[in-house]
Amino acid sequence: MKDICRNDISHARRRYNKPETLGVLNRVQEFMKLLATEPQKRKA
Amino acid sequence: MLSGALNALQELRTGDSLRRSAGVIGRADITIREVCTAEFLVNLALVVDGLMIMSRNFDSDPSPEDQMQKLKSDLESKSCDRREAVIAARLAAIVDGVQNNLNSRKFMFIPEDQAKYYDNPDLMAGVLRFGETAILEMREAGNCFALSRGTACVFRCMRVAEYGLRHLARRVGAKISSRVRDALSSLATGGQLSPRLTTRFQKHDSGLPDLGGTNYFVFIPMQQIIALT
Repeated sequence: MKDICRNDISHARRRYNKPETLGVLNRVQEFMKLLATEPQKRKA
Repeated sequence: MLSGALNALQELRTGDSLRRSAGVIGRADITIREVCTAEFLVNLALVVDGLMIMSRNFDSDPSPEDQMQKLKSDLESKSCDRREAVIAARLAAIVDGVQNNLNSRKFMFIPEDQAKYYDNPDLMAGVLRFGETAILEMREAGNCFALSRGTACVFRCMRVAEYGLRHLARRVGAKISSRVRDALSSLATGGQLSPRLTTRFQKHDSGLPDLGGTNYFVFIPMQQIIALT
């Protein structure tokens, strides 16, 4: 996990503008919602 | 509230000056309108009360707040010294205190479209099952976005995603392939995808915005990423 996510954001020293930030925020939110709802879908 | 206090201060000072001037020119017979009427004192007590609430809202120092509390009590009890100069001096000390407090603080404007992300419970609701620290990270991500701290927001998002990915890895017990790792790396940085994945995404959805091959990854929904990787 450290290699996948954390190192890039921590060490790349990249800056993010507003649309990019909103894109990442929405995507992560979507991802977490997806993970949280998946078991219920499976049961159904 | 501060303007109300400043107006009252101006009125008190003018009244005091007129009274002094009348004394200097020896015209004690001139009638000067009394500034500190019962109505004026009631209104001033309200202004001081409002000023006190305002000061609490920006966490002011205790000293001016104590002064305001005492002046308000005196004005309400009607037992205070009603001379304009006396009330003006007390009010001036309070106004100076509040202005000093305001000068030593900074207030930030948050645009309407970003304000809704500040301490947004909807953002936090999505990560409830991932524990208290994930909730805190998501809250901070929203706050960073609201305050236009894009890089800090993405950093927080990565921490949140890490909780999700750990959960996912535990649940499926799967080894993460290099293809998924590539995609997730790009998710983390918002940078350029590998040529192979770029072609694959472009074939899948020709309606993607053309940003010269860079950074468009942030516009692709998560379901598509998972499906395509």
